[in-house]
Amino acid sequence: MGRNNDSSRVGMRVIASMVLVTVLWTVGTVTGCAFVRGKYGDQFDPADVESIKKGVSTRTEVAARLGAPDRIIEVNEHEIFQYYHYDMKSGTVLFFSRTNIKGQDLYVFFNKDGVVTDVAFGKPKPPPKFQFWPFGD
Amino acid sequence: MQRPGLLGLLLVLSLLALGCPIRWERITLNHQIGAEDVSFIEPGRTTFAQVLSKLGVPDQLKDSEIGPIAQYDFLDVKEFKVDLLSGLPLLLPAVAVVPSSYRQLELEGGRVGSDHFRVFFDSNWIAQGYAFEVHSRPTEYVLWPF
Repeated sequence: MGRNNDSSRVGMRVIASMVLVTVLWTVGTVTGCAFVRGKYGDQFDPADVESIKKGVSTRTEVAARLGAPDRIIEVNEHEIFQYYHYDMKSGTVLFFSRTNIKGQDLYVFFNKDGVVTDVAFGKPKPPPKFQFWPFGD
Repeated sequence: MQRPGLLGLLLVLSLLALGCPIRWERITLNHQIGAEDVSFIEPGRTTFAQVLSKLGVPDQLKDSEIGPIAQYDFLDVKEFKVDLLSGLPLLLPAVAVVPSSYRQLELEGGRVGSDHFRVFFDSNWIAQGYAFEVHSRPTEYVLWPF
């Protein structure tokens, strides 16, 4: 009798566990949980950046090494090639969604003769995190 | 499973299957820059290189009559959404034939944080001043938009 009760309880627990797993799986799939990653532009290769020499490299050499710039701007009588790269990570679970985006920029300054005078390239920022919890930091 | 529990579970699953009627969303672009992060900038003394070493490479460089402007972009958007009619097909199944976009009554509320920090340089790339474009109140979720 007691053994029958024990096996019945174990059976109920197994069924409850299966129901819970089914519910979690259904909720997870039906409600559109998603983890998405997107990138815009190519990540900068530090070796490519280091190959640019101030006072030596020309506009053509920079374009050959880094590709066509995303923008060409003129600031303070300098022509500047701007390259940028964005990394996006987004997580959605149930009612919660969080998207983190980080940008990285590189500027190459030229003089009037088209020779590099300066390169502005900071240390790479830490990549964005995959998160879905939208509260807190 | 007891019948009320099963019904409750089915109700929750059905509501969720209708496409998340409630949602908290947050979008963050880059790190927030605060007043304490920029306190090292001394107008007339701090150079462009020093700004780069502390704050990183700016997201935009612009020209002005006075000199270059370095702009840092950052954003924090918090939004709460609820679709008050999402459960309607459960009460009136015939409504389900109407595309969901035509039977939505959404309440949305939220707040966008400050989004730009600019450093103004002279023609020698020495900082002359700085400013936050919009330093709004902290971002927060707003449950009731009225």
